[in-house]
Amino acid sequence: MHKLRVATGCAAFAASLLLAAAHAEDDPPELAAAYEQIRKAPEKDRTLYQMQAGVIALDRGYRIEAARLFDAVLVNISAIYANNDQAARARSLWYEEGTKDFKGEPYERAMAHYYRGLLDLFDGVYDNARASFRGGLLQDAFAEEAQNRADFASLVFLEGWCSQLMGMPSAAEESYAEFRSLRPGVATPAPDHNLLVLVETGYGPRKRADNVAGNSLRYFPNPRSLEKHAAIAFGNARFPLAPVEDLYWQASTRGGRPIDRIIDGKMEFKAVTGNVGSALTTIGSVAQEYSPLFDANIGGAVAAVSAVGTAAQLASFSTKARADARYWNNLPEGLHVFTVRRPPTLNTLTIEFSNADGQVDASLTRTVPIQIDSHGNGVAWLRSRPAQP
Amino acid sequence: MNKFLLLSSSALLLSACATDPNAATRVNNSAGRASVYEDVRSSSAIQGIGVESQDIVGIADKMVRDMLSNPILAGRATPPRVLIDSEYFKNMSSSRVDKDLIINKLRVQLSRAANGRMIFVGRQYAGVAEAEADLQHAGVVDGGTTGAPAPTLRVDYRLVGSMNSQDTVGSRSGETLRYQTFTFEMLDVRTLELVWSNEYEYKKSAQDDLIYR
Repeated sequence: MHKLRVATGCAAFAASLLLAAAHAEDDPPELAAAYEQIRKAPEKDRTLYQMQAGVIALDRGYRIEAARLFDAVLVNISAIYANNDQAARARSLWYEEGTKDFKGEPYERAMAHYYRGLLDLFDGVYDNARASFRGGLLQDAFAEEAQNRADFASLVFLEGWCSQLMGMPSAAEESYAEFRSLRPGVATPAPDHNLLVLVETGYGPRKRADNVAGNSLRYFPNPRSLEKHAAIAFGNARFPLAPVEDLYWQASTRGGRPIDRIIDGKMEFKAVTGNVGSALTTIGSVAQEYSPLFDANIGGAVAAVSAVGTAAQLASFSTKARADARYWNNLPEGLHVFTVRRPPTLNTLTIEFSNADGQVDASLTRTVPIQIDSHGNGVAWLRSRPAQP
Repeated sequence: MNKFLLLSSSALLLSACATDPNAATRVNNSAGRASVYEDVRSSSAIQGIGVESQDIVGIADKMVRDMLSNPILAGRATPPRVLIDSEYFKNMSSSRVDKDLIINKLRVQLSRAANGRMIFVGRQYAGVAEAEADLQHAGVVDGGTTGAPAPTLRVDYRLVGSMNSQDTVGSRSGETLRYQTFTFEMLDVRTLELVWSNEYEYKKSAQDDLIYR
C-alpha cells in the first residue's frame, strides 16, 4: 500500500517536472524567473506570484502574458470560497491565517483589477476596461445595503475615462464628479482629451508580522520610495502629473477587517484584549485622513496603529493565531495621471521624477512610447522603478 | 484500570493535537481529479456572481424564441438582412466578459432556428471578401462557382444592447449581491427605429468564506 502511494507520488512529481520544463522552454527569458516562482509556489500562494509576475510582464512589454496572468488572478479573486477546508481550519483554535489561499487585501485586489483594466485600455477595449475598474472599486467598497462607497480615487477616475472614450459623457461626468469629491483640486479630463498618461512612483507598502508570535501585523511605507512627483518634460516646459493614489495609505487604512469581528465575537473570554484592539483600530482609521503622498508630514506616525489594532484582535483569537504576512511586493507607492489632446506627431513622452522637495532625480528620467489604439486614443504608462520578482 | 488507560490515551491524543506545530500548515497531498464534462445549463462547483454558462445559454434561448415570434424580423416575405455582432453591445457592468461568447451563441442559435426567415450578414469577416477579390484580380485564383465578385450586403437591422449591473457588498457579512441585466435590441439602421427589444436578468448573491471577509 505504501509502495503504491510512493510510486504514484513519484510519477506525479515526475510529470509535474516535465510539465514545468515544457513550460519553461516557452517562457520569454525576461519572465522566466517570475514564472519559475509561480511553478514552485505552493498552491495557496500561486495567486500572489501571478500578481507579481503580471506586473513584471507588463513592465517588460509582454502584455499578452500580463493579460493571461491577471485573468488568472481575477478568476481566483472572484471565486467564492465556501465550505472548503480552510474554512473548517479557520474555525479551529490552531489556525494560521497564512495557510489560506491568497486573494490579497482589498487594495491588492483593487490593483489587480487596475492592471487588467489598463491592459484592456492598451487594446482599446474600453468597456471591459471600465468593467475591471468598476470591479476594483467593488473590492475597495465598504458598502452598506444598496449603496457602495469606495475611496480608490484612481479607479473612479479611470472608470470616467473609459466612459468618456466610449462616448458616454454623462456617465463620465458622474465618475469625474465623484473623483473630484475624493481628490479636490485635481482637474478632470476635457471632453476632447484622447491621451492618458499613467505613471507609477516608488515602492509599494510592506506588510510585516513583527513579533515572535507572528500575530502582530504592521504596514510600513517603503523608505526607498524617494520619488514623490512625476512630470512630463517637453523641451523646457514641465507638465506635472496629478497624484491620485497612495497605496500605502490604501493599505494602512483598511482597519477593522471582518475577520476581526468574527474573532472578537468567537473569543468572548478575551474581550478585554479584543476591546483594546477595536479602539486602536478606530484611532488608526480616524487619524489618517490625509495621505502621506500628498503631505509627507502627515500619516507616517499613525500608520502602523490600525495594523496593530488588527493584530491585537488576532491575539485575542488564539495564542497560536498567526496573521497573514503575505503581500504583493512589486506594487508602486503612488499613481499619477495626466490627460491631454494628443498632437498627431507626438508619439513618445519623457517623464521626470522628483522627490518631496521637488529635486529631480535624473537617473530615473525615461522616455515612454504612446500606445495608440484602433480608435485613435492613446495610453502611456510608466513605472519609476523596474518591476522585480 | 481500563478507565485509567482510556483517560491516559485521550490525554496523549489531545496533547499531540495541541502541540503539533504543523497541524495547520501540513502539505496538502489530496489527489486531483480528471476532467469531466459538465452540463452547460447547470451551475458548477466553482461559482461566483458573474456571468456563467447557464446564463449565456438562457440568454440565447430566450432571445431566439422571442425574435422568431416578431413579424418584422421573422415574418417578412423578403427575409431581412441582419447583423448580429458585438460591436454595439456594450459591457457596462462590473464584470469583464468576452462579449463574443454571448453574441456568437445568440447568432448561431438564431441562424439555425430562423431557417431562412432572416439573412445573416458576416460583416466581421469583411476583409475576407476583399482579400479574395484581390487574389482573383491578381490572377492567383479563378472566379469560383458563385459568380462574379459582388458588393457586400447592406444590412437592414443590427443588434445593439448592453449588459449592466448593480452591485452591493456587505463588508461585515462578506456577502456580495449582483443584479445584472442584458438588454438586446434590433435597430433599423436606416431609420434608427428599434423594431425589437428584450432583456434577460438575474440576481445572484454569495458569501465568501469567513477567512476572506
